[in-house]
Amino acid sequence: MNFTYTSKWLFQKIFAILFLIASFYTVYSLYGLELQNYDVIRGWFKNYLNSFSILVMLSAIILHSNIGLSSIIDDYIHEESLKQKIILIKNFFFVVLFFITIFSLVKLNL
Amino acid sequence: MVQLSLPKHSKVLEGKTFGKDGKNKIVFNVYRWNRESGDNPRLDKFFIDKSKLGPMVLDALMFIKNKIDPSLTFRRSCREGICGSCSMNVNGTNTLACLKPIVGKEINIYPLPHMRVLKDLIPDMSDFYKQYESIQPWLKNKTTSKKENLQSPEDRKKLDGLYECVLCACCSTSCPSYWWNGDKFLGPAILLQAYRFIVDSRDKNKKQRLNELKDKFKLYRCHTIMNCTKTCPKNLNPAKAISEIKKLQVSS
Repeated sequence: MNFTYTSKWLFQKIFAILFLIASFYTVYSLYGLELQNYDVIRGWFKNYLNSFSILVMLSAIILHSNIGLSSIIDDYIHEESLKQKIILIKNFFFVVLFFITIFSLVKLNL
Repeated sequence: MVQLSLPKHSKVLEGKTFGKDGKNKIVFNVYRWNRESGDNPRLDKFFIDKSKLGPMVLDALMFIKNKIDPSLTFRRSCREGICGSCSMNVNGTNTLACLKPIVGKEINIYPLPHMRVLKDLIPDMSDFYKQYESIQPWLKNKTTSKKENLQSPEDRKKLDGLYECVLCACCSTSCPSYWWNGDKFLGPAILLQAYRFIVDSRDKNKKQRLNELKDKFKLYRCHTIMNCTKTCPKNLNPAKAISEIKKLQVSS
């Protein structure tokens, strides 16, 4: 399969499923914990499986939204140069968001 | 950018009134526009006694044209939902006027939305037909045999729900994606036809047909809004056909 729009369409669906699975796990594992207690939550993040589920969940949201937003831009912005600029800003925003996610999770685990 | 408000000369104004309200009367609000006059479009009111009309909206339009205002312009031919000519927007839903029964005291009739209007209820379908031509809607087969091109009953069954499409464009013109990108997105009617040839066992060009549709505008502007399926006057399911094409794209 070449990396065409078909792949993007498929990946968007896969990311949505990954997000659902990871969010179910996250809610399940947080259930019953004292969520207002800072140390309890830090302890929860120290578990690599929990951190990984958060990583999967946030990455899936970012990637799913990235494809979705591109699609919306394609729908409504018809001027090619403006479209390219908006896509560039959007991609920059998502890359920054992705690195913030990684950095935050690494910091919580150190 | 998408234009959200109507240009000044596109605003629909109040038009002429024919007849008076009364017992047993139905009011037909009909969109009128004549490009030669240079005026804004208007909405004419026709008060008609129900007992004088046939059961369908097309009967009312023909009554208006024959007895009240001969300048009213609309397409019609078969009067039984086969030709697809009388597609228009009746009470907010795209449909065939010949299949739409007259129900209620007030009926609003407009041309198909988001199409250039030529006159009154007649939209310009030339782009729609060009898109239809682009999918090469004929069987492509290299066989030169003079024998019949037979099909098994199972293969023939795959065409049910597809071959019945009369290309009235009700589905395409109800699709918001087609409104915004009608020049690039093929729309549900054409994609249903494309699928009809992709799954036809007598056609040997499946791969090329699928490759032709592998485009973010031609196919993937469909966001499964499902207006097409809801509005189809022949009760077909273009949204399903589009999703089948997407599945075939993934597996091919």
